Amino acid sequence: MTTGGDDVASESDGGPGADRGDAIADRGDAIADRGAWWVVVAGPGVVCLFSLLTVPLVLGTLDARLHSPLAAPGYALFVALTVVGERVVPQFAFRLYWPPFLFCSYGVAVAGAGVGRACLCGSERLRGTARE
Amino acid sequence: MKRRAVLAAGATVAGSVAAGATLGATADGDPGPRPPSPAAETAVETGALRPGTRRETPYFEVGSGDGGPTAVVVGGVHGNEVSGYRAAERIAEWEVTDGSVVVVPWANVVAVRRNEREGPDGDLNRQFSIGGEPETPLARSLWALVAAADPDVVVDLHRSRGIYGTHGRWVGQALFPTAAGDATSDADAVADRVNEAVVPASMWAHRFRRGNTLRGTSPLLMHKVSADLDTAGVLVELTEVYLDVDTQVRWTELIAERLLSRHGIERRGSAI
Repeated sequence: MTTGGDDVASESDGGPGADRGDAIADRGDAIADRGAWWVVVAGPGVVCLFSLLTVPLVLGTLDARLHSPLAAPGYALFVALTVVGERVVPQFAFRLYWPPFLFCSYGVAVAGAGVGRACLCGSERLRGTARE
Repeated sequence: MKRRAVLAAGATVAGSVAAGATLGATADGDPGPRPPSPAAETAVETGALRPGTRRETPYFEVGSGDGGPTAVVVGGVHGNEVSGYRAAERIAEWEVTDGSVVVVPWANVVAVRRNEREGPDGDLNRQFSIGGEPETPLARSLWALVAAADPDVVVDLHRSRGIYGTHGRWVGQALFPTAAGDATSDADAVADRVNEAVVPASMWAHRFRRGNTLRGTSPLLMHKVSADLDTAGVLVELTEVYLDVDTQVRWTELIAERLLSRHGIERRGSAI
């Protein structure tokens, strides 16, 4: 017969209840890992950087009077792509550079956000060490 | 300006606005190029190149009517360079207060209708043999108009794919002066002025610059203007990279306005 006390004892010495606890903990870790993965590929930093690179440039291409200094990073990336691309595939129409530009902007945003997170973690560790 | 000579170069005078109104009718229902509305206070006289043919295309003369310097502005030499002929259409609607401007908005009207670079006789801007007769009837007709106008300055409006000095062989965002008169310093001054006025500093690649001087080494209209007429002129090239068509048109018109202003031809309601 199983009693509540047995259950308590079994959890403490590694019985079936302990397995369920590990599973819950694993699932929690998995969710946390997936969260970290999403932060890497689509976190707020990535979204902000991607928007900064693309939205001002799209506005500028709709009408040059909407071009602002905020478009400078995206503009530099776009021009760099066209310069390289024009040498590699001279017949490629310049309007077709938008998909590669968006792809590269996303890559830059992921890398930039990663660097930003690493810097933040580093500074937090330094603060923690200083407190100890 | 030799006004009578200009009018004689084209065949039809007066009533050509009405003739022009039917110009763009195409089989696919596209209204095509339309003539500008005559501005109320501006003398507008029109004629046509290649009258009575499929390649008939009108030209317009806008001016103060009191003599003074003369310019010839040509658009649509390449039919797919939309900003060039649309800017020329707008110039044909100017109210010119000093001097006069002869405008040919759709030089290669068949190519414009088809939205193609070349017309039935090939690339119009490769048919102006230096020191001789242009090679095709349309080129000869256009050249006769330019020569008869005895212009102080000629402006040819184009658009390229890429940017001069940035994208290999492309020539956009550049002003190519003829070797005559002050065309070189005009191109420098106008590029600086337009950059300052409308090109954002952060669009560094799009800042206008002066291209090489046209000295009559190729059978292009402006090379022939340089070599055979010894007349100041500028070949204007915009780019399609990153620029919407309306911006291309605005900037092209502004460049033409500043170039003509340097030759004493002024419009009412300057854009700068």
